[in-house]
Amino acid sequence: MALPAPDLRVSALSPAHVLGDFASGVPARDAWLHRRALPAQQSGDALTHVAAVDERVVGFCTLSTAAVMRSSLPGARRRNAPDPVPALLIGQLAVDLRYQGGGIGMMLAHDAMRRAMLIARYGGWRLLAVNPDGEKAESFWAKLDFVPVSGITPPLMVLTQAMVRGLLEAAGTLPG
Amino acid sequence: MSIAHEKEAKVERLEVRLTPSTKALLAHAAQVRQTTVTEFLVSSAVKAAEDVVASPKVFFADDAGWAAIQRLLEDAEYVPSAGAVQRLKRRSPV
Repeated sequence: MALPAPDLRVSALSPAHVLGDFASGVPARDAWLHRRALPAQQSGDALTHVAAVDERVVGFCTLSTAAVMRSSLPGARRRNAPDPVPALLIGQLAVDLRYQGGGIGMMLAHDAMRRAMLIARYGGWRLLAVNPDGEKAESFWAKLDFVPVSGITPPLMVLTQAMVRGLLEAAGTLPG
Repeated sequence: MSIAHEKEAKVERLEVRLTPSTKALLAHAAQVRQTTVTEFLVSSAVKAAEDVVASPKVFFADDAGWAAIQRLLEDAEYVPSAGAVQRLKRRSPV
């Protein structure tokens, strides 16, 4: 198990970063980093932060906007509840195979939570959501108090904005 | 084709049945792009598949899912778990 390198830095993906032979073991995710991450960054579709040693990328995490909608017609709609519910989506999170097990994924998730609270200053959202792709991912997000919500397609695990704020306040890393 | 896909040897086969007009259309498009029908078909399909995998942006909640979301949003009682807080402290990007 490789511990995060002391010179590991988390920052926004830039053209100066070296993607090299990054491989997380999930081909679709790796393909996304190699082919789509920079165009998505430039168009504004999805913003990627990377964990990098020097400029070499060893992990990445993306944030974009999303919405949770009712699939049935609303009956007695609650007054305070927006429909759809605005959300931020952690679309991709992956760590290079050579660095897995060292806490880099956790660090990137933590970074995504801080980014979400920075976004909250300027634009509204209620849920920080992730669409876990298996049991391993589910247990990872559960460790950060993400709540699985059944009855949503595709499946989601979420933190409310209040929960993200509470977690970061307790950890002492809420952006000031 | 993605870098990840290019590294692997092409050992799998996929056969498709299609109408003569569809095949003619694919052949025409491949010719315009100056590539083979196979390469055109695979690269187009891979791009579409990557989009599907990468970008679910709208999530649909049934009645139970919607009610669960509303309960979470109205819940003022949440107390961060000690484990989650400890992990965040240990793995901080700042």
